[in-house]
Amino acid sequence: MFNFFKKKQPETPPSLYEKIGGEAAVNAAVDLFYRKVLSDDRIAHFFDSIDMDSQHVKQKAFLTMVFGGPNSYSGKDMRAAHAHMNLTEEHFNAVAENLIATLKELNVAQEDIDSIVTIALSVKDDVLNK
Amino acid sequence: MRPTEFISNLFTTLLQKQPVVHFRDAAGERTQVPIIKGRSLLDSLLDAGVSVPHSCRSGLCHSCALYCSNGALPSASQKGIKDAEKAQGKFLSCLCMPDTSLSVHLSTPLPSTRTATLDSVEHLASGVSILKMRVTDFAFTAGQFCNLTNAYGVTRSYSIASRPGDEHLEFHVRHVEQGHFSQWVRSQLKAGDALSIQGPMGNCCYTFSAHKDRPLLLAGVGTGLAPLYSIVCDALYSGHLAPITLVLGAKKTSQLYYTQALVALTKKFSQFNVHFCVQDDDESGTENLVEADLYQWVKTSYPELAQYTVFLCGAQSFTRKMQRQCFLAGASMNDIFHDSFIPATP
Repeated sequence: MFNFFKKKQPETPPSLYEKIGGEAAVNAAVDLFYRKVLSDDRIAHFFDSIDMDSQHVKQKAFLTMVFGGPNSYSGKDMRAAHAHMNLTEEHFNAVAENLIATLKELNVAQEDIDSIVTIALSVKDDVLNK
Repeated sequence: MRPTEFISNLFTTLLQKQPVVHFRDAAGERTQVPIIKGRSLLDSLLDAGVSVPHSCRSGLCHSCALYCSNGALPSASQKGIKDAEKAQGKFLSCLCMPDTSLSVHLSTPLPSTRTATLDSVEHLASGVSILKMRVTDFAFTAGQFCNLTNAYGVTRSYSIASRPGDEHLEFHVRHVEQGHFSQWVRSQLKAGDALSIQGPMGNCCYTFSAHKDRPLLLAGVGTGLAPLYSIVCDALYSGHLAPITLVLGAKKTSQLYYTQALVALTKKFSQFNVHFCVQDDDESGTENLVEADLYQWVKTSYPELAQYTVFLCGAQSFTRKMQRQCFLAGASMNDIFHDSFIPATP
């Protein structure tokens, strides 16, 4: 209802999430990403006895967050979820590499990949429980 | 809610003719909350102090899903919900901007229970009993299951093996040593007996409109055949437009059942194929049989599943392993439907 007033304001540039395609981008990326993670011997064993359906939902939430989309991921949640896993730098890097490979496969622009990696790095200490 | 609060809420509602949401939580506690135009149902509920699990508030995480039992749901609120769940009224409260009053619940409304009369029971040598019963006005989707309760109050879940619209509802009961339900079926149940039946339930479903163009791969072990048989028959007789393959695994050939009926179906419908994968062929003469490991055979025969819709039914150890394998072979997570059979605790 306030569109009339909004038009007078200068247009804001699209967010990272809008730029790369929003929810459709998440949907396009989630299967590719999850498949790469499950095929990566460095981290695949963490997913052995996990319910794939609920993990798939979590992967979507993770991608939405690193794509700069609406999310409620908190550092506390990240810590709690990964605390018992004794994760190392190698595990984090494996996930990051799979993420980058997914984005390249989807022809995401390098500058956007850089922004996404920056967001991913921002949760590193929480994930590694540092 | 206190009675005074209820009355004042009711007053406000009547005065403004404002639509309301009737909310029922998991414990059955009811609350009535006014709907504010332009505000999501989730926000309206949270504003009123109703506790609803939620996270992303943008239709992604599905944690704020509710079930609607009455009222017109805006179609936008069912974005990304599977067809069978849509039919149960599942929707995302964060995407729901209702114009009219709704009744919503935190958990799936349980389907009604009715009495069915058993028409026949047949005990097969493979260790399975085939139950056929008659229930009037019973609508279901191929792949769904029901809870059956016997005269002693023992309840077990069984998938429907017949096709929607068939004269009978058919169930396959595997004989379990000291199984309270299956031993009762074997030793006492006879035609004319009454059973209590609650259903249908489950989301591992085939719907013609959603799947008609997709090649189907169905795989199962044990009585996982029951829901797959319903899906195969429904797809074939509805005029499914793409190939359909059914793969059944067993340790021994003698544990398989319905083999002849399935082979006959392949002769009637050229788009349908069936393969029986056994480790030990202890009965010669079964057509379409291979002595092979089920997982390995599927992997080699169907290395590329990107275009497929996959249905997996049977023991959880099987559905989990096969779900992962099919996903890695290219099937999309949203195109893999599974129903895991979990044994009852005695």
